[in-house]
Amino acid sequence: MKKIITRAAVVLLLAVFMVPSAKSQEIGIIQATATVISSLSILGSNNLVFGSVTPGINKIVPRTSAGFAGEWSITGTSLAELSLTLTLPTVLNHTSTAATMPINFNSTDAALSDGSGSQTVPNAVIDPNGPSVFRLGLGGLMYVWIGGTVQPTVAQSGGDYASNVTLTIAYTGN
Amino acid sequence: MKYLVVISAFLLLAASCPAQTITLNNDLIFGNVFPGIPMTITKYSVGSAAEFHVAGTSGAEISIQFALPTYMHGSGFNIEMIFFETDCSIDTLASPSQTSPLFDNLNPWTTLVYRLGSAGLTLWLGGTAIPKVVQPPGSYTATIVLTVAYTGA
Repeated sequence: MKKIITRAAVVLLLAVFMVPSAKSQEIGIIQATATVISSLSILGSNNLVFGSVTPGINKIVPRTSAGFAGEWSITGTSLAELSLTLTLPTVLNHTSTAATMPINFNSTDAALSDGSGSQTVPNAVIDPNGPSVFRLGLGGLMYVWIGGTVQPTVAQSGGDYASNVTLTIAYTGN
Repeated sequence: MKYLVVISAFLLLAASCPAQTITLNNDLIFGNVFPGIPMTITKYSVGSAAEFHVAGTSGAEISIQFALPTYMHGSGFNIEMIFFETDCSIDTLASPSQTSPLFDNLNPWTTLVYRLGSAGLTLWLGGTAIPKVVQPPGSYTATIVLTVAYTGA
């Protein structure tokens, strides 16, 4: 009987050592992955140039006027959607005195191309006074043009005038 | 002889209690991420959320613990990651549903304890990546480790 008990104890011990395999830890590993697309870059490639203006006579520069309309060149990831917001001045400031000259932008004074259009035949006409959303072209390009109207008074002081026109762009994530 | 019968039964029980196994069904895939724009993958997002399947003894209780990364790395740069306290879900049904799991909004930062169903247990994990505005382009990865163990209960 004692021999049986001893054998049983040995077998029991073996069984106990076998059991931990059912309680052992199991580890699984996966990856979190992401691909960051290229950042945006923007270049102001042409100023909005009114040239010489005559006191009392409004002067318009159309957005289609190459070399005179304001122009920005944007590069980023192909077909990514951008938000575009223009910050527009209401006056141009005399570069050496406190004189100002009113400037106006109407709702069709801006346009853009995704690379498939041109300044004279753009892909879209946009209101420069409000935000816009548009996609970069296949080549990851976008061009934005802006025209405007200056309204010199009859008594407008002579000299040079300037103000900033700012285009802010950002990926929308779409 | 009586002891031998008891021991034999015990051995049979031990043999019928297989170790749990983890199958990795899906990585946590953020895809294309825009600089400066956080991206969230919800746990319900089929094919994008992380998915694990744990198999083992039906009805057995297991503890589940994640080791979660705080960054994804790539080319010497990193992207911050966030796992919220509701980013995990579990389903123990034979036909688990990712979009309507049996146990939802679980905290992946704590040890979870559940019983395996007849077909095991499936876990899903979502997360959020926070790329910087000037985040360098390229591929980023991190490791998520899941450890499971029988509690014995």
